[in-house]
Order: sequence, then C-alpha cells, then structure tokens
Amino acid sequence: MRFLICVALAAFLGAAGAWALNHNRFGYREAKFGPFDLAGEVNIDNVTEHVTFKSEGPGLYGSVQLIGESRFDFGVMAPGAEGEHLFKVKNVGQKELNLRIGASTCKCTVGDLDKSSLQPGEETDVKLSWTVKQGVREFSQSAQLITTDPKSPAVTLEIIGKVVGDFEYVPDVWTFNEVATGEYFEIIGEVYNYTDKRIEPGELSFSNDKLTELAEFDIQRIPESEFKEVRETAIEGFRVTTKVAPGLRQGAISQNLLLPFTWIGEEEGSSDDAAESSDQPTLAIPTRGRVVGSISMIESSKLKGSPGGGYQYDFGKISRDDSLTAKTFVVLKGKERDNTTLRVGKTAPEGVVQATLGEPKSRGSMVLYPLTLELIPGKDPIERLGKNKDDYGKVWIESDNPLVSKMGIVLTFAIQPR
Amino acid sequence: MSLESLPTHQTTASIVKRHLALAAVSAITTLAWVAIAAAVFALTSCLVGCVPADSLPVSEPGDEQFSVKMPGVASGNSVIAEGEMSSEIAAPQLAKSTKTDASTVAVRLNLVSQPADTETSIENSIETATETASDVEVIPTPKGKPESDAAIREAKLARALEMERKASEPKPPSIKAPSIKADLLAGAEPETYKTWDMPTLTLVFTGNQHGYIEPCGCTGLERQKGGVARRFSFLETLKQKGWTLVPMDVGNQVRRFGQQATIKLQQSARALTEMNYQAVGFGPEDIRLGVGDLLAVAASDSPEDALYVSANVVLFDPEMLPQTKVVEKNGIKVGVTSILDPEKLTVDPGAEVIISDMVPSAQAAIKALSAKSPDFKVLMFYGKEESAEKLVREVPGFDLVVVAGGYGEPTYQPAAINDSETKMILTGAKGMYAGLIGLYAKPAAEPDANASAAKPTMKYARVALTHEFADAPEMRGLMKDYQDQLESIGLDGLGLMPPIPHSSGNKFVGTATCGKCHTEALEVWEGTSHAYATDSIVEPPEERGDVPRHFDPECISCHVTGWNPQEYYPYESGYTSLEESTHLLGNGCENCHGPGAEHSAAEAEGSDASSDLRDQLRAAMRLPMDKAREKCMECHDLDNSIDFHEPDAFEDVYWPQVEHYGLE
Repeated sequence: MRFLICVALAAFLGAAGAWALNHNRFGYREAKFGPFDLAGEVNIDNVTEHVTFKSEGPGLYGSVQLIGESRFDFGVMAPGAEGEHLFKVKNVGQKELNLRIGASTCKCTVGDLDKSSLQPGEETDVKLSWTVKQGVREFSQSAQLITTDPKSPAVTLEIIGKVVGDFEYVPDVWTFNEVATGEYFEIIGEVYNYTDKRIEPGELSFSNDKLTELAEFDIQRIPESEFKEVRETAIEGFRVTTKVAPGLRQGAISQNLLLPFTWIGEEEGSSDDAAESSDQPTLAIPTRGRVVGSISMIESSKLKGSPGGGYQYDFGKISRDDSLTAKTFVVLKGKERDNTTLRVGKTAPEGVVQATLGEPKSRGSMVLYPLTLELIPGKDPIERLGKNKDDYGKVWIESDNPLVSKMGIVLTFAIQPR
Repeated sequence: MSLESLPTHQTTASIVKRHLALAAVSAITTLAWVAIAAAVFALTSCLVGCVPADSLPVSEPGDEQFSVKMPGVASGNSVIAEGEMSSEIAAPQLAKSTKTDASTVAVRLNLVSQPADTETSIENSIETATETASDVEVIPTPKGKPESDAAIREAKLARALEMERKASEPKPPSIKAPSIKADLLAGAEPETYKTWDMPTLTLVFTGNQHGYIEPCGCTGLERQKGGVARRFSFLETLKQKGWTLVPMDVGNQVRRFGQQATIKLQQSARALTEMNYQAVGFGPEDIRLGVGDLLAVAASDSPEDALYVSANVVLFDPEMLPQTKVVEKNGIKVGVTSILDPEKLTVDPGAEVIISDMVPSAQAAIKALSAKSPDFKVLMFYGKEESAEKLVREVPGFDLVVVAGGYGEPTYQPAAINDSETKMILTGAKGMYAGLIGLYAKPAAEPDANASAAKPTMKYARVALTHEFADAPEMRGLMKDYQDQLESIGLDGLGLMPPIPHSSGNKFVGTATCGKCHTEALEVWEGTSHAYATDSIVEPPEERGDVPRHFDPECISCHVTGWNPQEYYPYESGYTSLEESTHLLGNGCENCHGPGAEHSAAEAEGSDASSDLRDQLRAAMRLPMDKAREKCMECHDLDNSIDFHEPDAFEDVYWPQVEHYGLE
C-alpha cells in the first residue's frame, strides 16, 4: 500500500513538475495589451504578409558561410572506389547557428556533421563520403545542409567527378552507325591508361573473325600535350583507327574490339610468365553499328526490316476512323547514291495499294526519299494479314541504276469498305 | 533460513534495507514519471503549436509547407519568419510561439508607407533585439485555449483551405517579379500540388529518362522511382481532377547504342504520344542513335503534329521538325523550344544531324515565339545548369528554363538566375520525377497596361513517381509490346549473335557440372536466389507477372549464366534460350569464377591432363575474397541492389548467404 502511495505521489509530483516546467516555458498567458491588432490593418492573421526580413541587420541571427566552393570535383575515380571530402562552414553571424544534414541525392552520399550548433565565429566540418558507381561516366551527388540562417536555409554541397577504371575508352562505345553494304567505313576511338604502369599494345582484332578479316588497324600514341589538360591523371593515351572493307552481312553488329597489351617494365620470358602467356591482359572495347543495303528504309514501330533486306509495314486492322496513309522514308546510301534515281514500281493489290515517292533530299552520306503508302478501300472488306506468303500487300521501289537493286515492301492490313 | 529465526538486529537491518530499496524505487519511479509527464506535456505543447525555440526549421506535417525560424533572439524564444507561400500557417504559429515575457524578447513591427510603385504588400521590417521592455512594443499573444484533437485537425484543415484560397487569388506575377521570400524558401522542402487550386493550365516536365523506361523491380518496386506506367497514372489522376495538362520532355530517352536502344526509343516515343506529350527535346544519347532512328520518331508534317521540337537540332533537313511550337489551351498560350548543349555530345553526330550553336538558335527561337505572342515561354535545355543559366542571361525572354542532364535532383522550388528574369527547374535523372508548373490566368477583370503583369502566375511542385502511382494498364500493354518486339527480333536481330568469346577463351559448362565435385557449394547455391534468377524473369513476381522478360538482354544478363552483366551480351557457349540452354539457367558458379569447361574436363575421370595443367586451371577458377565484392557488384549495382552498397553489407549480409570455399 505504501509503495502504491509512493508511486502515486511520485507520479503526481512528476506530472506537476513537468507541467510547471513546460507551462513556464511554453504556456499561454493573457497578453498584456490584448490581442495583437495594429490600426485594424495588421493582426495575427495577416501579420506575416507584412513581414520581411531586415536581412542586413547586424547580429540578428546566426549566418552561415561556406569556406571554399560548394562543389568538389574529385577529378577521376575508379568504379567502386570510396572517397570523402570535408566542407567547412562558419557562423559569421552574431547569434547561434544550428545545422543539420538534409536530403542527399543518394544513399552513397552521407553527410556527417562535427557540430550541429555553432556559436558566432565558430567553424565546423561537414563530411561527405561516397562510393563511385559502376557503369557511369560522370559522378554527381549532392547533400543539403539545412541551417537556421534565414538567408540560406539550405546549402547544397555537391560532389562531382569522372568515373573511369584503369582504362577509359573515348567514346565509351565505338560506333559506326549505319553503313551501306559495299562501303568502306572507319571506326575511330581513344584509349587512356589511368594505372601507374605504361603498356605496350599488342595485335588488335575483333571478337568476330569475319570482322577481323575485313579490318585494318592502326594504333598511335597520343602526345601528352593533347590530353593532359582534360585527363590529368592519365599516364598515356592511344588513338585507334580501324578501316573495315565491304563484306559484312546486313544487320546490327555488336562486337568488341580487342586490344591485348603487356605491361612495360614487367619481366618477360620467365618460366612463370610463359605459362600465363595465353592470359595476356586484353581490353574489350564495345563496338556497335548497323550494315544496311544501298536502298533501305527508316524503321519504326510499324515498319520492320526483314533478314532478306525487305521491309514489312503493319497497318493492322484499320477502323473507319483510322488513317489509310502512312508516311515513311526510303534511304539511298553508298557510292552510287548520287547516280541513282528511285521510282515506285509495281504495287499489289493494284488499285488498293498506292505508293508515292516525294522529292529526294541529299545530305552527308545519304539521300532521303519521303514515301507515302496509301490504302484505297473498296466495296468489300480487304484483308492482307500475312497468313501465307501471298497474303500481303506489296510495293516495289526500283532504281534506274543497275548497280542498285530494287527493294520490296510488304504490307499487312485489313480495311473495311468506306 | 526464515525471517523469524534471525536475531533481532538482523531483522531490523533487513527492514532498513527494504525501506532504502523502496525509497530507491520511489525515486526512480518519480524520475520516470517526471520524464513521462514531461514527454506527455511536451507532446501536448507541440500539438498546440509551442515548439522549442532552438529546434531547426521543419515542415508542418501534412501540409508540406515549411517555416524558417530565426533564432536570433534569446534562448527560449523564437520568431518565425515566413514566406508568402506559407504565411497563413505561419501567422498562428507566430502568435502562439511568441512569449509575452518582455524581459527576454523584443519584437518591433514598424509600418512604413507603401511606395506608390510597389506591387507587394506594405513593406515592413521586423527587428529583434534583446532590449528592455521599456523601449519596445510587444506582440501580444492571445490566450491559448484547450483544443481537442478533432478541433486541432479542423483548425489545420481550415488553415489549409484558407491558405489554398489565398494562394489561388490573383497575385502580382511571381514569374515577373519573384519575391525575396520565394528565393529564401528555395531548397528547403518540396511543395505539394495536392493543395493547389486547379490551375488554368498545368505544364508537366520530365526528362533524361536515360533508358529507364520502367523500374526493373530488382531492388523492390517500392524503392524505385520512375517509369512510364507510373507517369501515365499520375497524369491520369490529374486529368480526373479536371486539370488541363501540357506534358513536355527535355529529352534523352535512351542510354545505350544499338538495336535494343532503337526499339526503346520507339516505344518511349509511343508512350510519350499516348500520354499526349506536346513537345520533346533531344539528349546526347538520342543523337548517338543516328539520323534514321531519330527521323522515325521525330519527323512530322506540321508543327501541330510534331512530337519533337528543337531550336538547334536539325535532322537531315530543317523541314523535318519544328524549331518552336505554341500550344494553346484554356486561353493560355505556351511557347516552347528545346536546346541540346553540343558540349554534351559524346560522338560526332555525322553530317546528317546538325547541332547548331546555342545562342543564335535560342535567339531565333525566342524571336519566332515572340511573334506568336505566347503568355508563357519555355526553354527545355539538355546540358549543365551553368550552361542553361548562361544561355538565358544571353538570350532573355524565356519565363522558364527546364534543365535535364545536369547534376542533382529537381530542386524544391524554381531557382532564380542571377541577372535574368527566367526561372529554372530541373528534371533530375532517370525519369524519376515529374515537375508541375501550374499556370493561373489573370482574371479578365484585371486588365493591366503592363503586359508582363498580365502573365499567368506560376506555381511549381516536383512529384516523385513512386509506387504510390500504380502501373497504368495502357503502359503495361506497351511494355508487353516492347518485350514482344525483343522476342520477335531475337538475339540475332539485336546484333548479339554470333556471341563474343569470353576473355579467358574458355567455355561454359553449367552449374550442375561444377556441383559434381563442389557438392557443398552447390547446396549453398541452391539455397540462394541465384538458383532461381531465371525463373524470376520468366515469371516475374507480383505486379510484374504479366510481362516475361527473358528475351530482354538488359534483364537476361544477370539472370542466366554466361553473359556479360554490364554490356548485356552473351559469351560464346553462354545462355541463348530456355530451350537450348537448360544447363545455364540461374546465375551460376561460372558467372563469378569464369567459364569452367577446361577445368571440369581436366578434373574428370580418365582425363590425361597433367597435374601442372590441373593446378593452373584450378588457380584460374579461384575468386579471391578481395575481388569477390567487385565481381558481385557487376550485377548488384546501385540500380538493382542498393542494399548491397550499405556499409559492410557484403561482409555481414551478402557473403554469409553464399559463403563457400575451395572444393567444398
């Protein structure tokens, strides 16, 4: 019983004490001069509309100053590497300044504050640490420092830099876009070495034998003066030029250019190394492009190329409100492009499928013909849904140049009479 | 031993001890009650608006507005300085949190006469100082009265409604004359669009999708933002509220180069069309695909029909797409153009794609737009923020510049640009956010000789496209078409055949072969998700179950055995299909240890391999611990396995799940 009385007494005293403490600090009291009202114009409901900071006023609040830049460029880091940087902030106001770390763009950027409250004139470090992502070229993360400085409620701190492994390929994927069969083409790229050892490049090749057969490689060391300004930490660079002769089949190409190398300065010919000769380090540089015929079309979600070099346009089932026309482009490439004129050949079913070539336009390595495909409805429903090889509409694009063969387009559609 | 059997002095000592113990318990209980009571009271105090003065600025729960506290007063007192956007909330707080104790705080409100040419409210200054009561006027505080929870909620709701009403009232054009308050508030907390009055017209900005047409779900859909399916749903929710939308995208739909990227660009353009996007710009990765792929999505017969618009990108011929576009809805004309910073290009675009200088292009665009007298002019800019700021300083006239491709996430508020009247917002990366610009037309009853004052007023909110927005069936259908397209074109059509030899020159044999000797390691593997990695893309779990992804190289590469996980291509003898590669299902041993055909053949019964060769092949298969983490990260990257990147996660969580050694 006494125990319970003691507990109740303690509870009462505790609650009373807490209430008194809080009431003294936060409680409401009758205002001395009644509710705030100034000439009937400014009252508690609209006072903030009339308030602006007298921000130049001396000593009214803590004021944050970032010592140094808000953006830290770490230069170059390897994927997966971890880094950290200390930003320094100072309270240049004459009152206490409170700080906390706000949102950061990613979990890999973590803010750490030495002190969360700064007296006037006091400084503190803000530590940002990060882990560099795999598979990105540029790193950028930020974190916000939230302050009680009304002039700078949030200070954004940024970490930026480039992400490269031991070697950087420029560009990251070496492309040759679209080339015509029968055309030579070049692939040019650069390789930079960020290790602490120089390399001696070996014999270049592609990961595909056919491509290697057709290719001629050239690799040149890039003078330091050409890359040091941008790639300060790279110790050497190479420019690789590959000329590929005609002979590739049409279609997309996705292969690697293989650059084997040896480390300069490593002992060669020792018995241990000899056993590992087949494990020569090799850089695999992604190489992409597409080989198309002399006549091709610009593919879209409705127009697809077929392995034989033709194309298929899918109108689908056309309702009464749908358009009966489709606009596409025919492309002429290759050395004969300027000696060739295209025209529409036969269409089938005659009277149902119409095709019109617009005025050609030439730029760079291609000539572009707008092609309009149109379906003419009849009295009966017409279907060409590709159920067998004859179940298509057809359009032939012919050339006046015997060196440029014609191209076929098949159409699938179902139209109602209109 | 019983108590009765003890000598008397021992019993007395025991009683004293018991009393001491009781006193101690009472003291502890007292302290506990004090703490609890204090906590209860503090909580109650907070609920009615009393916040300790030394706390930091925080948002008001539920309303997502925020206040800035000015702690430049004596300890225990605070003045809340508030921007116009949240003034309605601030007022009661100011009243309630300002004490009448004049000995510790003094607040003086000085009214000055309003300058005739000032559009803003009466200019005042509020000064605080630790002065004596004799030379200050004190803001009196009305007496607090007890409120029930319901009353508090009602009061908050009423304040919110009042705030919304006031926010919707015509105001001086914040676009033209951004107040210091708006700048002050930039970057503290995001504003929510949910409390807005319905804008006359709402511009929706996205950008830099960068290949992330949907969140893959590998690390949990609830933890991944973005995707066209959520974006579609978000736009639908706005439309259902009756909002009129003009969606626009700054560009850069894809990340990679090749046939899959081409298909992704086409499907992205289709998604943008279905979401009724009115203008789309170009990013450097779009340009890298080449003129053919770009014309397929961007060529148009007329500006009205055009999806893409660019002031400085010409695809083959200037007639292929418009340089500017004006969209008129609900009486507001919005002019828009886009610029791609040539510095962002990673490859030469070729002679068929012309990227012109930014300044003359922007000048020509603003001239063309101005001729059509739009109410609001937008520049979509792909490049760094600094470049965008520099450009709009050199080419004035845009009300808003929307930047993608720079650093950082979208800011909480539009940023002011020094020496420019243009405001700037960011889209962020990977299409994770949508930026809303609510435009409010000036009422016709307020004719104003000043043309700039007739501009619509603007509000901004950034919206994270989280799993809060369900996947729209329309876009799920599109994703299915995308996967079907990948299936029909096949690995050959994607340019991935013939496969590339592994750098070791070796061939893959499959996990079952490894497990013949490494029996314990196989058992461990079978108990992990690695063993079911392929199943999870053939029959994706939960809401993604409708679209299998085992024809998508970007998924296959980490869910089968024998692919390059970062470049998304198969190795020779690696997985090609469910039917032909039954031994390579799951993320098997060889993905980390390398292809094991030679090693397993050398170890097989009857092998004539020398012991030296066997040793070499065994050594080649070893993956030392110091390399293991890096190897894992080829699949467990930040996009697909964010937990893996927590400190010590590899050592404490992931490695223990797959721990195995040598021949075990």
